[in-house]
Amino acid sequence: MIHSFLNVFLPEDEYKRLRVLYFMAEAAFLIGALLMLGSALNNYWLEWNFGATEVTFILMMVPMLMAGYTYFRYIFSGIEHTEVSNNQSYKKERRVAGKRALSVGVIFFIILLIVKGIPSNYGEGIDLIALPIVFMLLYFLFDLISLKRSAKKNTDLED
Amino acid sequence: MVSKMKLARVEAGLTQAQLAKQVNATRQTIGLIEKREYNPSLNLCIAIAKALNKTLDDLFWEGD
Repeated sequence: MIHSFLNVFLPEDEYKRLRVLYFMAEAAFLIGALLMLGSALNNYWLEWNFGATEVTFILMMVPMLMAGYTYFRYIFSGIEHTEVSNNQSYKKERRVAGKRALSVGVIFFIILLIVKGIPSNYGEGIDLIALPIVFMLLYFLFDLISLKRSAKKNTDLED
Repeated sequence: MVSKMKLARVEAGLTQAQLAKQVNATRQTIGLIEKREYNPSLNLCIAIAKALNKTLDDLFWEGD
């Protein structure tokens, strides 16, 4: 195996490892192109005059976009659930995905409660409840898409 | 056309999942190799050949 700190983020299986590496490289390339385009636009045309907050936001967007691109490519490639090929294993994995989404929602709720504190008005209370629910539903939805794509790919490759 | 690797696997009485477990890969990867949609590394080729008790030529050589 090639020694790299990236190994921490890569799966064991060599096909998955190669695909994820491609996704990461695509993300890095696209972000590089986007930053160059933004830089050129700023220099010759738009001449934005950003403050410190905006610059911090843009800098934070870079790793978020890279992680997001890699995640969505991974989800839609159908390589996450490599062993799901029949109805039984699909249903089992769907149950697991549901439980995982629920756990993630609860953790998100706890973190939100710690960061924002106990809500002092109705709006804050709604935020505290609604945000984890939306996050949980989205998490479950993406997990389900990944599961469906994986099951389809695996069925095509079956014995 | 059925790949030589698939024939050898069936001959050895192994499922894709069983072979995958033996060579530390996933069932999907084995399926992709059998469908010629992925070229495995030499290390994986050797592991598969050993697991199926075949040579690399037996499994992967495409000459006449």
